Amino acid sequence: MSASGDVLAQVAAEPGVPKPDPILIADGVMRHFGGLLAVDVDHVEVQRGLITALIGPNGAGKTTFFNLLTGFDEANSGRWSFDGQSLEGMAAHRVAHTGIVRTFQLTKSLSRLTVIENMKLGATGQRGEGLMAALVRPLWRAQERAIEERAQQLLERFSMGHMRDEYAGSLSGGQRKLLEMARALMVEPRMIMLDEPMAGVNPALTQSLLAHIKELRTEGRTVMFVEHDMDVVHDISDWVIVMAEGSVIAEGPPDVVGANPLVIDAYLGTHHDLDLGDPE
Amino acid sequence: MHVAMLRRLTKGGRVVRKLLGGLFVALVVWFAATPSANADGEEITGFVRNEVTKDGKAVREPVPNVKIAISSLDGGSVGVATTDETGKFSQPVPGPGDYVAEIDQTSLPKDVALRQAGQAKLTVNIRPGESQILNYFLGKDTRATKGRWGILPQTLANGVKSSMIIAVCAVGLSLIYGTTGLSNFAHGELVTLGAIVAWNMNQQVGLHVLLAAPIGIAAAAIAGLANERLLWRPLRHKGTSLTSMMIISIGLGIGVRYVYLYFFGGRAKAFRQYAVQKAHDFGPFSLTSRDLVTIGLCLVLLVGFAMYLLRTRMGKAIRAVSDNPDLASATGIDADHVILLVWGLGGALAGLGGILLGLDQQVRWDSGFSLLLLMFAAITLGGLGNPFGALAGAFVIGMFVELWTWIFPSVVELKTLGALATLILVLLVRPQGLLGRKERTG
Amino acid sequence: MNWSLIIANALYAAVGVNAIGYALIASGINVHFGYTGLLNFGQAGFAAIGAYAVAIPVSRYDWPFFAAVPLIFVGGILFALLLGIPTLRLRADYLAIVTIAAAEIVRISLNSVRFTWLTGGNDGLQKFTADVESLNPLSPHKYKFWAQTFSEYDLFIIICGWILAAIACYLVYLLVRSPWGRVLKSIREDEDAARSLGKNVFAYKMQSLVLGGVIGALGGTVIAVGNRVAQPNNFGTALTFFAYTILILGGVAKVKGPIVGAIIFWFFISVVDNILAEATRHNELPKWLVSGNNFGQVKFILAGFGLALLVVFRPQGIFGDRRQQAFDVR
Repeated sequence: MSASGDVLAQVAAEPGVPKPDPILIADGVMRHFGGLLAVDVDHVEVQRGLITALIGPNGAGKTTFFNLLTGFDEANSGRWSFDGQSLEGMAAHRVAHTGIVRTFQLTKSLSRLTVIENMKLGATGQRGEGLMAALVRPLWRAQERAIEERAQQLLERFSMGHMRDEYAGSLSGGQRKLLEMARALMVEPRMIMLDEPMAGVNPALTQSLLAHIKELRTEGRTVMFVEHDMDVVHDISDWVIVMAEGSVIAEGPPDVVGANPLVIDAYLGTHHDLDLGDPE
Repeated sequence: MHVAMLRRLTKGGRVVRKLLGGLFVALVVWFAATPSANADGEEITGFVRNEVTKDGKAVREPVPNVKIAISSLDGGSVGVATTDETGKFSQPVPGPGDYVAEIDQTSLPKDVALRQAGQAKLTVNIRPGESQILNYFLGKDTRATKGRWGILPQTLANGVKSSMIIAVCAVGLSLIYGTTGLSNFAHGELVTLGAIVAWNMNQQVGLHVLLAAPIGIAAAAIAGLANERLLWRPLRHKGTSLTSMMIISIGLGIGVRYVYLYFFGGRAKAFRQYAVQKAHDFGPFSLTSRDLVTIGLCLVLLVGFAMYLLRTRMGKAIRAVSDNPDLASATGIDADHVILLVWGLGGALAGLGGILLGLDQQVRWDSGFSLLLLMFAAITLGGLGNPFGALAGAFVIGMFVELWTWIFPSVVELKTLGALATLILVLLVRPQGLLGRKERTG
Repeated sequence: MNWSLIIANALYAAVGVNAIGYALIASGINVHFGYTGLLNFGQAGFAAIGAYAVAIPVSRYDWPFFAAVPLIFVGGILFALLLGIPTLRLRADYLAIVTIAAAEIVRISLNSVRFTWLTGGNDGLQKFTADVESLNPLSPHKYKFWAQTFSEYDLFIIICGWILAAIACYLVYLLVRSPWGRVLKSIREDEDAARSLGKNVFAYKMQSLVLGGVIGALGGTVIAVGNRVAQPNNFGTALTFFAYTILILGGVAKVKGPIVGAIIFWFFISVVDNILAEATRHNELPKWLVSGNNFGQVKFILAGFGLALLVVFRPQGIFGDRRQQAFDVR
């Protein structure tokens, strides 16, 4: 566990526990699909400036919960807020404007745009994105140049500077994950939500991805990510939230959660062969 | 050129050549016998007469001063003919081809209307040197005398008939969507094919309708199988996107439709048997034997098909592939085989639907296309890909279409407008369909 | 067979008023489908609105032609809003079906005897081009180009039409190279990704629908003014799909694609039409195959199968590079 997790050292490892400085608070969030209750989260808080992992067996509702929080799905009931601002019923693009950006389990790189175009798309408040202003190049030329510069810097940081003019569709799975993360940073989010950032990434890239995620925390951003791989969770997260069958069943520092019999049960219920702590 | 690409191109080329070749041969065979004359003086002529009862006898009186507008198929006006004292009109046309004859209903005397509302606007095919005779019969405007509520039962009875035909045509469309995800915009052409082949067998070859119909159905089934085997399966295996496949089906549909127009002509043509029938009076409404057989046959077939899907191994396999193709193939079901079967069955049902539609409203080159959007409405309302939903959807759509004419009785084309408006309403109000579960659509 | 006449006719058709109108109509589809990924199958509806937006007020209410021109834009924008507000949230294939139905509603209404007093019904409207003709600086004269003659009005319309098409394409060019165009393309690629980055996808789709719709409406105006008649049956579903054929022929998501496609398409259609007409005139074809003038349908047959074959074999267009094709074949 990292030192920055110390702020939570005094926090009890139990579901729905209050945190000293929560940035995201969700209350009574429910989502039905037909007769199935996919998400039923009573209360959960995410601490500012830390890396929080959201784990759970397949079908636990992690991705659906992500979708609800970021406006990509509509909850049947519940309230949730980001930094004091209610996000309930807010459209996905407006959620992004409040300072949360998410990525997707299946990467959504824009195949037939180049890497640099992908990056530039992420910048917010672009004057040239208005229909009328778009016609008058001088109105946005300077801003575009600044955006491109920032995009290039971010690409360098993710060691992708040399790929700027390649089509995103030609990148490998891991490179797409990196691109998606870098593109999310173009929005300059205060919180970034990653849905299975390691899925489909070859081991050589995994370490660099992890390093990038830790760097986000160093920059002062809050990170929440969905992950299956317990090793990854141990390595980088400050706090772990466990979901099963739609509800939060446990919370706590990684080592505490890993030893929680409820968590082991939840995993064993669906994955008899899963040895917690080993990569799948 | 890259070798693999070359191979793919030649392979695909063979596929298309086969497909087009087969189509061409089939068309040549039917139409080789069609005679054509050559002389001058093409015209459209005919009478407008009013059927009245005089001294207890039915007599036909000529109706003067009725205007009939003749225009070319692309809309250019040819002229407006007016009936003389004997009720006769004639309008020379510039040459052979397809024309539209539209009777100006405002020029009719008061209180009378066309006996057959469908005659208000007719497409007429003029062959070289031939003239076409159009006879219009008027009668008391029964709609006015019977009263709005009085004709409601008849409207509903017609609705049942329409919905049965829509359902039979749409089952295949729904199953194809369910098993492959393709919105087949060329499905209407399978419907028309059944009708045209049966019509040719009936009118050109001289077979009785009951013998001609199975041939038409077989032709549509074979066309369905050929569609899948020669076109859609190779495309699917190539990984062609659904959007591309949808556009391909549109192109195919347009091409085939105009091939029909080319050979069949633009005029509506009736079958030799069962074209004119006396209606049985059931009190508030009346139906002809043809209508009754249509409804009965469709009901039996639809129920039978539902049983087939529910009870038999193959039927269950179809539903499994419809539900989840990947899972189905994982359990050992040969998805390609199932899809081929679906195309065959869907084609046969579409062909039958086309023949029934042709018996009801005559055969036209675009019979099936005119039904296509209604079929889409039905299967969408039923929840895309759900064959039982398609039946329910067809029932609602068929009823709705007839009810539109009841609500707005005076303008014929409102029937189509009503159908289109219904389709849009359906998609807006219940995009997930009647039986479908709500899912996020964007 | 008179080949010089056939080729001259085809060259004229390739630059003629229909080619211009279709180039504009296909440009609109390019904005919708090529850049935004919207499957608008109702472009014929926009074109019809463009045609009647000038034909009705000028022909029926004696408006000056140029007073009616703003109505083309108003009509295009209104139809786009009407179509877009309820449907842009629907799935792609639903949008396709709704737009095709909406365009048919427009055509059938224009054709309806109930509205003949306004629209002229099946015959359509004429006599709305006097103001355009009076602006013509060209001297009244039969112009001759090789075996083809045409009037000063035809020439004037061709010149003005291509200028209009060039302006429209230049605007599209400016727009798709801007950050605005980048957002459109991102929606085409993956609208959820665009949303997650804070782009208001619905608003952009709407803007795209309006822009492409207005360009399509202008195309309809050009066809009506050039042919001096607005008729409902010129705006059937076939128009929309010919425009798709043109777009794919010239290259999807290329600014010049629709122009290149329209020129090739109309050249080809005219060659086929004229060869068949000549052959029939000289009785060179077997009777059972061609009777009277049903060869007029051959162009529809070819255009339909052509669309299907293009998507199967050359989705990147005839000059395109397969790697760059902008619409998804995989």
